[in-house]
Amino acid sequence: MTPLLRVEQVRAALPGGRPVLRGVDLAVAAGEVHGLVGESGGGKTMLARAVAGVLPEGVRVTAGRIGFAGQDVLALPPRSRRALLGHSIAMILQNPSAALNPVLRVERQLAEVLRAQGRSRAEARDTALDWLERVQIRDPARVLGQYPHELSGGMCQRIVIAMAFACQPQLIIADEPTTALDVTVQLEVLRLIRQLQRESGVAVLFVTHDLGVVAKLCDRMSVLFAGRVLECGSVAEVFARPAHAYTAALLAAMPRYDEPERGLHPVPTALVEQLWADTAEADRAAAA
Amino acid sequence: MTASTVLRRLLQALPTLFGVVLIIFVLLRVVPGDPISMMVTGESTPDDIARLRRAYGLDQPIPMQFALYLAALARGDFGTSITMKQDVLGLVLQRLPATLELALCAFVLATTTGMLAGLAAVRWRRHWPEAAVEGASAVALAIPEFLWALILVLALSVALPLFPSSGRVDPVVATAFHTQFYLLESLVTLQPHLAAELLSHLALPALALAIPLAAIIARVLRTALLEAMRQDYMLLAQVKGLSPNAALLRHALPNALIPTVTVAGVQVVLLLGGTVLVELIFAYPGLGNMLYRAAVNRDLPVIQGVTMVFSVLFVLLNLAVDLSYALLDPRIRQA
Amino acid sequence: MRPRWNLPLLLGGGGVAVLLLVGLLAPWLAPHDPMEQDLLAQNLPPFWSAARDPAYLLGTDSLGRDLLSRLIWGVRPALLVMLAGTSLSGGVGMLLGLVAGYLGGWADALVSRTVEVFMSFPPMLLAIVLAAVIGPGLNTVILAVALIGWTRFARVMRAETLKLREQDFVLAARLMAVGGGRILFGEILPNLTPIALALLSLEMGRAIVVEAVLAFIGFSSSDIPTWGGVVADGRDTFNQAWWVITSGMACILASVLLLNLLGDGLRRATQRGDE
Repeated sequence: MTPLLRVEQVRAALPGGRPVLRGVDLAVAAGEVHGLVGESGGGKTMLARAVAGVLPEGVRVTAGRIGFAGQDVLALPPRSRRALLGHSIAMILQNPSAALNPVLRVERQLAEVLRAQGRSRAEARDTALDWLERVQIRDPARVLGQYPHELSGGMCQRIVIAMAFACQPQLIIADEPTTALDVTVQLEVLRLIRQLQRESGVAVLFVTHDLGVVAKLCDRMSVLFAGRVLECGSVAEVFARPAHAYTAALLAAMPRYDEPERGLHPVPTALVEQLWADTAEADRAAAA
Repeated sequence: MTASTVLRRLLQALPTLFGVVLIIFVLLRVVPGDPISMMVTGESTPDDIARLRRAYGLDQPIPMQFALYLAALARGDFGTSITMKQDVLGLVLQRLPATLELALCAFVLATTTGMLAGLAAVRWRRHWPEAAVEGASAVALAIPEFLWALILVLALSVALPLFPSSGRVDPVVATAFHTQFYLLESLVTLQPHLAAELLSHLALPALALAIPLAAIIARVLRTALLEAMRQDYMLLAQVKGLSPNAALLRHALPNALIPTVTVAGVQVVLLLGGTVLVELIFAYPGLGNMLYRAAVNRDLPVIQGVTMVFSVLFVLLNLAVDLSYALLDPRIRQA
Repeated sequence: MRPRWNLPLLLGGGGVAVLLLVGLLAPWLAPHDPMEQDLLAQNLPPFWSAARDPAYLLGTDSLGRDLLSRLIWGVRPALLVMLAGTSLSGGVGMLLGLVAGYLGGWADALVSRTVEVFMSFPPMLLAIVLAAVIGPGLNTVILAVALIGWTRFARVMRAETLKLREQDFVLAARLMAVGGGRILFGEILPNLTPIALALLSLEMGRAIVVEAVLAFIGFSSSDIPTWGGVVADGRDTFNQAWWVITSGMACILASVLLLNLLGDGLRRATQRGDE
């Protein structure tokens, strides 16, 4: 069976030509929750945005193929590619307070998604209320009339999550959706995403630097370093038998509350430096 | 925003208005010595002068005179014009609509062109519209308003006789109006030929007033839109599937309007003040022209009246600009 | 702080220097008496036209006066108003702004309120009222420039002083019990010089325009040639002698642009290296 999303040898570069993705391979099956882990600067967000087709200005995909639901999205004209967003692909951003427009009421921002599906104004409002309840917001009627600055970060993220699921997409890209939240709220939001995912059966590409989150939430995972996937497999498999030294180091660095006597083992600097040196070497070889 | 907020802001403007009255009083009563000296003719006897001084309360001490002056203002008594022998308030109110129509036309012209230019510069960024808007606004701001007005007259009225160079309306047509709001009246009573005639007279003075404001709006809006485009909510608007146009208009614009109003608000007040000069250059029969003629004839009551009206308008306009921030920004509204 | 030379500074500074020289040397530079009428030589065209008179390089106006001489003499009132007017507005405005920003409290309230009141008058209205009260003339124009401009100096200086007052070096001086005057003039003023210079040259540009406008509407001295006067004279005869009004407008525009250039250059030259 062909996967829903298949990323093949995708390369992307910053305006100056500096590579950010160095030939990424990734496959996400329909209904699968796929964790994309790695340190910051490793290209996780760039990969997520490349899949959605919303790379920052100047960043270009220079090579490779992104297949989604059987079509080569990189070959699509911009209009058709945009048409996927909000319908087949949705996205949850890292910082919920910044992701909501500060001068528009929640109702308008949520209804925008629903109106795009052809609902009337009244239907959109009913559906919006319904969605706010599904993301466990109390007093949804009041929240609809409020502005983002009147809501907590957790509430804002629930609204952003509601927007993503309300699109009824095949794939949701969640870019570190809990990083900006308080620890207690993080757990609730993760449970919420997991529950909504089970109900809808949508595939999720879950970008995070937190292996603990991957363990709780994901079916399969890929480890990204310097714009390349080092290792890919089911979460159970990778956690039990990491194939790459970097993955093993990441796992060892995870704080384990059940075994406090183990202490902290940060990822060895020498290993990271060696990996970056190899990457630079490969870049030079590619440029020559 | 409640009525009490508006009321509170109005009350805060009262000290400013008091200061305005005080300065007008000092400028016109105290500095030149004596307004009577401008009223008397060669044949007036010392007795006549003394009688006039008593009649105007000028034999009283200065603070008393100020109190009398304030009391008269409060009654709506702005005095009698020396040259026109008419009630000043009536004269001023008769001329006010012409100036308001000019300022309003200029404002509408400036905001529409400025906003469209700012939006176009961002929508077609890195293409010719952005360069054109940048260049045009730089030229617009480098040339002083006075010279713009002259350039417009010379180019579009004298060299190419497209528009009339002076006046508000053909005197023959003016008799058709019942109010002083000619343009408004012609629009309300559906007389397009009259409106066209009025607009042809308004075009050049309104354009001269609008140029700097339009340029500033275009520049600030462009910068503010570019800033808004960098925010996460624009990324979210994109992934919601909104088209670039919809994202720009529905998400970036409402945010970008806040800094634009902050900067352009000052300029709107200047536009109202600019009517004085533009009315002179285009011989437009509004308050500015009335003030000029009163200054030439040293008709002090009229000068006072026009100055008061302008200052009140300035204070009210500043208030309106302040309140408009609150309308645009929910974070201020609830603070 | 070593000033850095840059193109706007050189162009603007050079242009303003030339303007000053022309003003000083007007009696020797001007080929004719600017007031002398020659009714046999009305509306003569400039040198590039076939119908020119070599005696009148830029042609003559409707009264047969030499245009070049009028423009050269017109530099004098423009510069006089510019220098005297901005010295007044800058001196008063900056002093009040500094005091308001540094002292705060009632002094600040008083200055801020007064600024607010003065800003409730349209600038041209202030000038016209002044002309009505004390009569037309150069003094009126200079006073008008001062009355219109001082609020801008006061506002900017107040805001900048307020910012500086809270900075470490001023706090340090206060802790060492340095006197208020010495802090204000020794610590704060030197830091405000760049912005004051840029503001001054901007205001000088505005002063030139105010002078031109008041001369144009006849509220300046009528005994001396002014650019605004040349523009007013040339307006009615545009169809017979377009060069009169356009040359007057060109002088006004050129000097305003030069002063703006100078202000821009000064700002760049005095900016800190890290900006």
